[in-house]
Amino acid sequence: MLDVFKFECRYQLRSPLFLVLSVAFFLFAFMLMGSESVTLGGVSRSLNLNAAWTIVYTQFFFSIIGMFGAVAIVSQAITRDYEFNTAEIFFTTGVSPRGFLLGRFFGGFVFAVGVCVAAMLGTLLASLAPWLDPERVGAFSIAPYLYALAVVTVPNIFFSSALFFTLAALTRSMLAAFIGAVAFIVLNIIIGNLVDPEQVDLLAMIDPFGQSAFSDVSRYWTVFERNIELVPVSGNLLINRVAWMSLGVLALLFTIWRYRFSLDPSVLRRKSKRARKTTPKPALTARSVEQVFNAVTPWRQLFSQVSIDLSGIYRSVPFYAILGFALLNVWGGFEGVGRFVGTPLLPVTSGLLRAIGGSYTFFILLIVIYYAGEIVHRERQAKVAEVLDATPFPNVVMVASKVFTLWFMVACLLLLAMVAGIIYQAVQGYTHFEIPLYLQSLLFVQGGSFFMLCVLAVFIQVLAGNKYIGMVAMLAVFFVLQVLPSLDFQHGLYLFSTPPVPHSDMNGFGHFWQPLIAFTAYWSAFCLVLAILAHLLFQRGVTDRLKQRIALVPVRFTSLTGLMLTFAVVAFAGIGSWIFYNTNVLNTYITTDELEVQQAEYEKTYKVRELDLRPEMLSVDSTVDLYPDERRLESKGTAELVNTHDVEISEVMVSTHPFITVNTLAISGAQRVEHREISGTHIFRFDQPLVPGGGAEMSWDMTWDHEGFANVNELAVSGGSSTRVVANGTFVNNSEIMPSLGYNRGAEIGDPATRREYDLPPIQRLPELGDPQTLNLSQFTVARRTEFRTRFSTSADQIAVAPGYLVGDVIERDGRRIYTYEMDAPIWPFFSFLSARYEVASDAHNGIAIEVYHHPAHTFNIEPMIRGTKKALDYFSREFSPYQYRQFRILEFPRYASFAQAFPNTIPFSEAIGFVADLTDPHALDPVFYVTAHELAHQWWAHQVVGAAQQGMTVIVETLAQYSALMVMEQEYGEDKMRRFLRYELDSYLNARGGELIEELPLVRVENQPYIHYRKGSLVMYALQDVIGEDQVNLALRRFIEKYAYVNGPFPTAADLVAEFRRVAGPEHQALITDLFEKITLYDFSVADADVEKIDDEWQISFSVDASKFYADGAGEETDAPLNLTVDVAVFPKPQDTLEDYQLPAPLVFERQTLVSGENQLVLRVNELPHRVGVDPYNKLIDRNPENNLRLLDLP
Amino acid sequence: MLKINALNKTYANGVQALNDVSLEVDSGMFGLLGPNGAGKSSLMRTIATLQTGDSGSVTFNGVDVARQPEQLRRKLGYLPQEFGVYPRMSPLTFLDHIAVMKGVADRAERKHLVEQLLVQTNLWDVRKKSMTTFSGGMKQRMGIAQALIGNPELVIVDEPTAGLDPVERRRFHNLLASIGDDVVVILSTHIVEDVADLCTRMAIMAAGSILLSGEPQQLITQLQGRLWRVVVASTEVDGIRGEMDILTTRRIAGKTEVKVIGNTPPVGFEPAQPNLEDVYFATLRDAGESVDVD
Repeated sequence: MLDVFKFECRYQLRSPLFLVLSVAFFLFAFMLMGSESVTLGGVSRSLNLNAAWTIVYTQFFFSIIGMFGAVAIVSQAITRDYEFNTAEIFFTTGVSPRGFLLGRFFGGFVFAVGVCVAAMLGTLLASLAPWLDPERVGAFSIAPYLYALAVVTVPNIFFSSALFFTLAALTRSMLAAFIGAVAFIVLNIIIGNLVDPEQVDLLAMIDPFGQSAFSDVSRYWTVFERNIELVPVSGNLLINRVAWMSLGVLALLFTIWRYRFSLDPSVLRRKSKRARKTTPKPALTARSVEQVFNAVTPWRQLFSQVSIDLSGIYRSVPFYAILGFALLNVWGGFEGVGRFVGTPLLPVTSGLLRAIGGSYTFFILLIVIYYAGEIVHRERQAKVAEVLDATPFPNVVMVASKVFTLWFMVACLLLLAMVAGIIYQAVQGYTHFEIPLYLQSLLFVQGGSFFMLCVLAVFIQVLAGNKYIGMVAMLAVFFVLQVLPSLDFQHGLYLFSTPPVPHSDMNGFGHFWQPLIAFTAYWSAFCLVLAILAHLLFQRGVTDRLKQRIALVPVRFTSLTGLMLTFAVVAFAGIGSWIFYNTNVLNTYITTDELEVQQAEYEKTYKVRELDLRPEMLSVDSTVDLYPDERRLESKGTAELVNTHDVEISEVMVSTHPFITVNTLAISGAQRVEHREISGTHIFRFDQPLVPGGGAEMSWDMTWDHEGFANVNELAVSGGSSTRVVANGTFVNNSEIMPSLGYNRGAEIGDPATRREYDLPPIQRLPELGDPQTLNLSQFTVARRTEFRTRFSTSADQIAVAPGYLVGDVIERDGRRIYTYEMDAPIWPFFSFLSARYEVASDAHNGIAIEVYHHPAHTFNIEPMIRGTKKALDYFSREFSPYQYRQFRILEFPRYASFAQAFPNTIPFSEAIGFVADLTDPHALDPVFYVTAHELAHQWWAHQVVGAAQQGMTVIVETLAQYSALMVMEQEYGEDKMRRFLRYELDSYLNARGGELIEELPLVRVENQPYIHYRKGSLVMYALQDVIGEDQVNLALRRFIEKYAYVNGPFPTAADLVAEFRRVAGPEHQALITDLFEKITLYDFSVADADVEKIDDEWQISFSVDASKFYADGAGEETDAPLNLTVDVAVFPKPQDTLEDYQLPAPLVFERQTLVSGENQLVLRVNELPHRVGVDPYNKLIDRNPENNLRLLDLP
Repeated sequence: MLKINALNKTYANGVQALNDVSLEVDSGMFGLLGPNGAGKSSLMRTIATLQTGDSGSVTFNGVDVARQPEQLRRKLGYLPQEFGVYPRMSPLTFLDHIAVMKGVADRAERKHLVEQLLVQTNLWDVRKKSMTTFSGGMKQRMGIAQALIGNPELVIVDEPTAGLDPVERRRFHNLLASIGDDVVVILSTHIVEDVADLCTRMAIMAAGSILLSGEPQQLITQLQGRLWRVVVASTEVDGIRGEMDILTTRRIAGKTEVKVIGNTPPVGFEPAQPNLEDVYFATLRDAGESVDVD
C-alpha cells in the first residue's frame, strides 16, 4: 500500500490538475482576502479582513468548491488505469486490491487537501499584505487556520473524497463521480430548502460540510465575537464532523469489500436480454452510389452530426440525472420565492422567472462548462476522430454541431424550467399560465446569455485542445467576468452577457427591449467571430498543437470565411459603436468608483453648508406633465420661500436630482453663483440678504427624459433612475423631479472602509440625541409643512395620482388627461407622483374614502388591504387621534423595487409584495394586512408627529408604526400569530447585528438602522405593552400626540417619547424601560433540568432556570449585568395534531416569576398531563438562544 | 496516381518520422512494409490529410493534399491503425453517418449501400448492436466497411491485420482483394505475408525512409542464386555467426535453419529459394536495422 501511495503522490505532484487547482485556489483566496472589492457572500464589511470567523468561513467555501477538485483528483486516481488502458498491467503486479485502493485513495486525498491548503496559504499571505486598510486587520493568529484545517478542510475533503472515490471505483467512471458530486450538492440544497429552518439540530446534522452547525452557533455573533472567537468543537458541530467522517470511512470499507480487479466495467450493471428478431440478409447487388457535394451537403452533414452528438447525450443516463436535478433545483427555487414573514407569494410568472434566474444560472453554467469539454472532444476521446476527420466535411460542420448540441441541452433545461413552473402554478391552484412570457424570458431575455456562453465554451475548448485545460480555462474566464465589475470594469461592451431585464406584470419588459436587443446582437456578432475562429483552429487529424493549427489557417481560410468574418467583425464593431454612442454619448457611463469620487467630492465641498439656516417652503404650486410612451416628464412650478429664522439668510443651497435636466431654476432676488451639474448642486446668493420673515419665490422648469439607453450598471450606480419614469407604472417623488433646499446627507458614502479610502472622516449618521442645533429640523429636513397643489397630466389611458384631493373635473383633451390635486392643509414636502393604467377599487369607512389603484390583473389582495385599512383606521383613530384626511389611497407600482412608502393620504405599494402575496393559508401570517396597517400608521407617525432630525428619530416614525401595526394585527389575528411574527423579528434582529457596519446603538439613539427601529422596535414595544399594559402605552402615545402633533419645532426626540412611557409606567418598571430603550440588553434563559412528580391528581414540575442578562457595547462585546426581572413561566400540554409545529397550545399554567442571575429553582403545579415547561416561552425578551427556553418533560 | 515527393516530417520531440520520402503509386494494391516505428503511419496520415509534412508534397491525380484536403477526402477511404467507436452506437447508425459525411445524399441509396457493406463485411447480424462489444476482427471489418463507403479512388489501410486471428485475417484479405483494380490501395503493414498475398507493388520503409520499392516477385528474383541455407543443431549457430554474416535464423523442429547471402555458397550450405521475407530482412539489414532474432 505504501508503494502505491508513494507512486500516487509522485504522480499527483506532477499532474497538471493538482497544480492548476492549487494555483487557482491560492489566487482566488489571495484575492478574497487581499482585495477589499472582492468579498465572499455572507462576510460583512464591518468585520476585520482577517477575522477568525471569516478565515474559517472562507475555508468552508473552499472545501465545498474544493469538493469538485477532490472528486477530480481521487476519481482520477482510481479510473486513470482504465482510461489509459494500463489496468491490466497494474492488476497483475501483485498488489492487493486493498493496498491498491487505499494507496490510491490516500495519495489522492493528501493532494485534495493540498489544494485547500493552497487556498489557506493564499488567505494567510494576503492577510499580511501591506496595502490592506490597517483599520480592518486584526492581530495575526495561526489558530484560526489550524482550526479551519482540522475542523473544516480535512473532514470535508475526507468524506467527499471517500464518497466519490467509492463511486468512481465501483462505476469506473469519472463522469459518474462528477454527476454524483453535483447531485450531492443539489440534493443538499434542496433538502436544506425543504427542512423547516427552525429544525436547527436536524439541519446541523444533514449538512455534510458542517456549515449549518457552525453558522447556527455563530449566527447571532457580533462583530467583536466574529473577529476573535472560534466556534467550540462540541455539540452539533462535533457530532456532525464525526458522523460525516465516519460515513467516509464506511464508504471506503464498502469499496474495499466490493472492488475487484477486473476490466469489466459492469460491476454494477445488469445485462438485458431481449428476444432477437432476425431480418433476412439482403442479397449482394452491385450498385454504385452517387456522392453529391454541393451547397446542401454541409447542412446534411450537420444534421447527421447533430443527431449523432445528441444521441450521445439523450442516450446517456447522466443527462436524465441532470434534468432530474435541474428540476429539483428549480423547484427548490420556486419554494423559496420571496417569502415575507413566512408567507409565500402567489406563483405569478414574473416571480417564478426571477426564481429560475436565481437558482438556475450557476447550474447551467456548470453544465455548459462540463459538457462543452465532453462534446467538443467526444470524437477524440472515443478515438473515432481519425476515421471521421478523413471524411469530406468542412470544419464548420463539426464546430456548428457542437454548438447546436450544447444549445439543445441548454434549451432543454430552460424549457424544463418552464414546464416545472407551469406545474408548480397548477399545483398551487394558480391557472394564469403565461406561456409566451415564459418562452420570451427563458429562451431570449434570460437565456440569451447561456446560448452565448455555449459558443464561448466551444471556442475555448477548441483553443485549449484538451478538455480539462478547456474546463479550467472556461472557469477562469467566468471567474474573471464575475470579478471585473467589482474592480470597476462595468461596461456591458466587455462583460459578455446581455443586460438583466426585470419583468413586471404592470410594465412588461418595458423599455428594456432596446438595450437587450442591442447587446444580444452585439454579442451574437462576437459569437459568430468566435465560431469562425473555432472552425479555423479546429483540431482535425493529429494537429494537436495550437501552433500547427494556426499554421493551417491559411489553408482553411476561404473567401466565404473571409466574407463571414468581415460581416461579423463589422457587425460587432458597428453595433458596439452604436451601443457606445447610447451608453457613453447620449447617456453618461459612470462606474462605482467614479460615483464614489463624486460623492466624496460633494461631501468635501458642501458638508460645511449642512447646518446653514435656510428658508422654508411654505407653499408649492407645480405642473407635472408626464408622457409615458416617450418616458418623458416635464416638471415646472413655483415655491414660496420664507425666512422663518431670526437671522438674515444670504445664501441658499438648492439640490436637483443628478439625472434630471434643469432648464431653468431661479429664486427671486437671488443670483445663482455656483452650479455643479454632476451632483445637481446650485448655490444662490440673495442680492439683499433675506431678512427674518422675508420671502422669495423659487421657480423651476426641468425635464426628465431618456435618450437611447444607458449601460447595464446604470441601475446599480444611479439608484434606478431608468425604472422611475416608465411606460406604465411611473413612480417619482419630489426629490427626483423638484428642487429641494439644503445639503443632502443621503448622498454621502456610508461604508466606513470606503470613506477611509477617500480620506473622509468617520461618518456621523445623525447628530447626537438632544443636539440643540437640530431640534428645530424635522426628519423631513425641513421645519415647516407646505401648502401643496399640483396639475398633473398624463396620457389618456392612464390615471395620475399625487398627494391631496382631486380638485374639479379630470380634463381630457388632445389625448391627455389632466388632474389637479390640492391638499387642504399644509403637508410635509414629501410628494409622490404615480401614473399607470390603473383599475380602482373604492370603499368608504366612517366618511373616509378608501381607494386601491391596482394593475387590472392583480385583484387578489384588494379586499385584505381595504379590510386592514378599516381595522387600522378604527384602532388608530380610537387609540391615538383622529385621521387627518378624508381619503386613503394605495397605489401599485412595478416590481423594480419592493417596498411601500407613506406619502400624505397616499401609499405607493410595490407589485412584488402585497399585491401578489398568497393569503390562502389561514395559518400563515398576513403580510398585506401588516404592511397596510404599518403604512397607514405613518399618517400618524410621520405626518402628524415627527421627530427632530437626530438620533432616535426613526423610533418615532418606524418603531411606533411597527407597534401600531402589531396591535391591530394582534386584535385581528390573536396573540398566537403575533408571537410567530415576533419570532421573525427576533431572528432578523439578532442576525442583522453581526452585519452592523459602524456601531449598534440602543433603540433611543438609533441612527436610521432598520434592524433596530423595525425589528428590535417591535420586540421592545411588544414587551413594554406586555408589562405595563397596552392601555398605558396608548395613553402615553395620545399624550405624545397632543403635545407634538403639527408643531413647527422644536420637534420631539425619542427621549421625549421614552419620558412619556416612564410617566405611565410604575416605578417598578423604570429599570426595564432603561434596559429596553437606553441600553443594548440581551437575555439568556434556559430550562436546565426539570422533574415531574405526580402528587395525588396533580403533577408537580420542579425545574431550574439558568438566567442571565448582558449589556452589549456598539461592537457587540458583552458584559454581565445583574438580572432581577419578572419573567413568564408556563407549562404546556401535548399539542393537538391540528396545531402547526410553531404553535404552542394554551398553557396549563402561566405565571410571572421573578428571576435573578444564575440558577433559579421553580415549582409549578398542573392538573393535566404536562408536556413541556418553558421560561419566557413566547420570546418576548431578546434572548440570544431562543430555542432553549422550552424543555420536554420526562414523565414518571 | 499518387505522387509523394521529397516528404519530410519531424515531430516536436525531435523524432524524424519521414525522411525525404518519394514514391509513386499507381492503381492496384500497394504494400508498405516496415517495422514498428518506421514512419508508416505518419506517411499514411499525411496522405490521408490528417497531418501535414514539413516539406515536400503529396498529390493525388493532380490534387495537392496539403492545399486541398477537402478535394482529396472526397475520393478517400481511410482505415486508421487504431480507432474507436462512439459508445452505445450500432454499426448501422455509424455507417449511415459516415455515408452522409461522404456525400451520399440519397436516403434509399445510403440505406442500400450500408446494408450491402454490412453483408459484405459479415456484420449483418450485429448491425444493431453496440459497437463497444465488438471483437478486434469485427471492429476491423467495420473499419474497412466505412473506408469503402462512397467510391473511393484512394484507399489507405494502416496495419489492418495486426492482432487478428488467421480466420479473421483471411476474411480481411478477401475484403481488400474485392476492391476494384482501378483504385489505388495502400496497405501499410509489418506482416510480410499481407504483402506477399495481396500486393502487386510494394515498398519497404524503415527509420522514416523508403529503402526499396518494386514488384514483390521482381524483388525476390534479385535474391535468386544468392541465398544459401543450412540446418544445424542450435549449439552450432554461434560458431557460424563468428565466421560469417547471418541473414536470419529460424528454429525448425529443434534444429536451427541459418540463411546467409553471398555470391558463392559457404561450405555445407545449400541453395535456398528466396521469399519476400528474405527480401525484407535483407533490406533492413542493409539499412543497418537489427534483424537478428536471437
